[in-house]
Amino acid sequence: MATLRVDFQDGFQDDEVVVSVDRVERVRRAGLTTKRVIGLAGHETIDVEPGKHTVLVSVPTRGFDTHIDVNVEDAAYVGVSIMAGGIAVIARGEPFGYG
Amino acid sequence: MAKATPAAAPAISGAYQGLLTGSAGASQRLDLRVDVDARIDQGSVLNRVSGDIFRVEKVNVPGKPPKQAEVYQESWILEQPAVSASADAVTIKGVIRFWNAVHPKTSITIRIPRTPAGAAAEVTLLRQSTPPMVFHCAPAGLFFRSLRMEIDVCASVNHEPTLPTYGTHSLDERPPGVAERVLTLERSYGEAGIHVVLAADKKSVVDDSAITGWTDAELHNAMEQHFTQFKGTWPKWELWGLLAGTYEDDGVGGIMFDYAGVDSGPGKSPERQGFAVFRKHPWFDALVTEPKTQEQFEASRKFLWTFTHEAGHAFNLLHSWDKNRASSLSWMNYDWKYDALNGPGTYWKGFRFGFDDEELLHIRHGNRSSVIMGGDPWSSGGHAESPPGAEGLHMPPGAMVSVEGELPLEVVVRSQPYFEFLEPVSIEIRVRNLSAMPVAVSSTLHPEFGGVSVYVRRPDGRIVEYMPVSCKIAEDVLVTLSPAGAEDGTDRRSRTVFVAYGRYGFYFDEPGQYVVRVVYHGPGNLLIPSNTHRLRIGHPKSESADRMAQDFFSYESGAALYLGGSHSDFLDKGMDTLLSMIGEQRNSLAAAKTAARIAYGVGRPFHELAFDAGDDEANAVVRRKTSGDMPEAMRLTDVALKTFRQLAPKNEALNIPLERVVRARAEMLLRNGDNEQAQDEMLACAADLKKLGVKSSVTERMQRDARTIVTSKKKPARRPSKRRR
Repeated sequence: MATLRVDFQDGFQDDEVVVSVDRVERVRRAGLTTKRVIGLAGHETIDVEPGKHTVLVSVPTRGFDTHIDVNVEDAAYVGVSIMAGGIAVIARGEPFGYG
Repeated sequence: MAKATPAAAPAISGAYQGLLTGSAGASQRLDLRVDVDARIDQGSVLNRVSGDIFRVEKVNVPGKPPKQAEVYQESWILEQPAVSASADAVTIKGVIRFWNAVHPKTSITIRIPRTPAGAAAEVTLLRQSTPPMVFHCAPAGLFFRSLRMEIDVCASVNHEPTLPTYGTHSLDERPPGVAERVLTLERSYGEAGIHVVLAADKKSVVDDSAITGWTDAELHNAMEQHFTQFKGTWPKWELWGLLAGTYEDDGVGGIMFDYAGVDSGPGKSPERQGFAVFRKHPWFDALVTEPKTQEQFEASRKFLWTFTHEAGHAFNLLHSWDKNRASSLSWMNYDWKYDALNGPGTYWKGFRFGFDDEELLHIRHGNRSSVIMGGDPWSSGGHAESPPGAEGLHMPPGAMVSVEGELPLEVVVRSQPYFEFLEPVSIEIRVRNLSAMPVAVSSTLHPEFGGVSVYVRRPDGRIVEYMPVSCKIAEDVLVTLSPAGAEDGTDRRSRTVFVAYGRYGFYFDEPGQYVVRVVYHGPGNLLIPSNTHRLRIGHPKSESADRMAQDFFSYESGAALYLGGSHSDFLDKGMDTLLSMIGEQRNSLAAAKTAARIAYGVGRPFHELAFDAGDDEANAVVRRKTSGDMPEAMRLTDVALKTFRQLAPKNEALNIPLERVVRARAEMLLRNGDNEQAQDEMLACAADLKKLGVKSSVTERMQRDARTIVTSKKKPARRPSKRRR
């Protein structure tokens, strides 16, 4: 098994978020609000099979959604932010880190 | 701006400090910051001059040497200094801009002699139509501001290194041409122009054996226990840091945890007093005292970045992307955020270990209250952080004064933290004696008498002074507060003040967060600011409440509310609006408080000025228009009582309104001759308040007052005390 960590970063304000991996809903969280002092609202860790996956993120409270393809070997890290007019998603192979 | 190399002629930039001289006054001090040439190694020159003005207060305590306290008044900045240098002196001229309030155009001339070394700068402020103010300011060092920092360490991570050190050439991943030097927390801030003094002798070891992941509230609690400077008056140039194990979210390497209200923060005002760095974060796995490998140097670099970054938040700096500068190479940016925009590895290849110029401007020259720890709330007030559209707004003089040094009195403003939309807002102003001697204070504590000023920061960032509708002229009656700690509570005095409506309309008519501050003007020219108190106005809970707002927030309704109900023909429409709101919003606190406020006026006799047409001319006469509508007044108090009783067990802020409305009812009942019922209701209320945990001194006073009411078997009735009215 490999892990996919999804960090909910900037712009959340009492929002609901749904994360689906390969069209299967894996995470649904409500009431997410960003702590502006660290730029983080929370995170979820999802177990996945190693390999390439399509991660779909939607924010029903804003009517936004987007997707990103992520190649997960041991671990992958996805950061989700709400920007003006949509969702920004970035993926990387190491943890983000906040301060 | 480029890093400057110190010039050949001695640089004159730095801090200066001195008193006002001459006939214009003798009790003001100026902290001056001159930033026009290179004096700090690797420091930028911002080409600005700024200043903070303080009033110096001397407090005389019988039998003891006089104490001195300084009351901060205001700050200004000179944004376009015209600098001319001669062999004898450097002269700087320009027009200054005050951060707050509206001021007449003010010019400044600063003359700094080159010799002898250490000669005072002569600073002349010239305002239109007023005599010049001349300060003589002695040099006070090359740094612009100075901060004392106390760093404590948790037992689980109490091994070296506990403070950061990093050589800028340790890693190849660095900007070309970056100067080689060893950076510490002090040096990082020193290059920014801030003198950081680490209080090494105060270091304490915090027991964290029971904590697996720190929360903000736990960090705040640890600060309250371990920060030696936590008690006492704020704001001040003091900051607490904690080297801890792990944060509750293990992705967090550091946090400035002291922010109130917003984002469910842990603290109350004052804010920005403390930060933490989490030593067990993976960033610091390779951290050692003497790094040798790339991984170890990267850990050292990140350790320095984290300390400097978190302390930066305490100076009220936001992240770079929150200031629309996502590509800023600053301590306040994240490396991975920068790299996501500019390419992998670009942050550390370009970052020269500094703040960006806008941030430097803020921490060196920004409005003092928005920079100093414990001043403006985090993420507010800074020049770059003002709410959109608020940059050009002004605030009244005195709105942001603060105290340095010891004053004999503490002034506190407080209220319930949340008000419903349309709910009339009242605040409690409390003055408490902090000294060991009795102190005389003004008995009024109300803006109507001029003894206190109330400032309100609205959700849009605008700061306004609450102005009462009526101004009352009366000789100031002083009351003497007992020395601090009097068990019977006589060392303090408080008053509830209605501030919902005033001379310029409603002050809390928009949903959102407000900040309220009071400045007490005591006997002998004493000026004491209170804490800054946050309160929130909720959104309309129904369409009818939203629709009602247009009529409710009108002159007629506001005046009727301010006056506590009225039978004036001119305010009929306003009273109708208030009564229909009470009917439509029944069971809400907004309706209950409105009903309680206007009931007394509805039940009282009302007189009006009229003109009798005489034979030759009209004569002004005062006529009794009504003897009061007692049934309606009692109905209104019923509405209020029902809601207060229902909500009071979960809302202790309703204890005082509950007591007041029962006293008002008792007074009306007495006027109506229902002495037994008045007594019964007061005794029942005293019992209710006791169950609610109200102090026995309050309930016993109410019982005493109830027993002074003479029922039919006894002597004629006396009215109950009007305390708290």
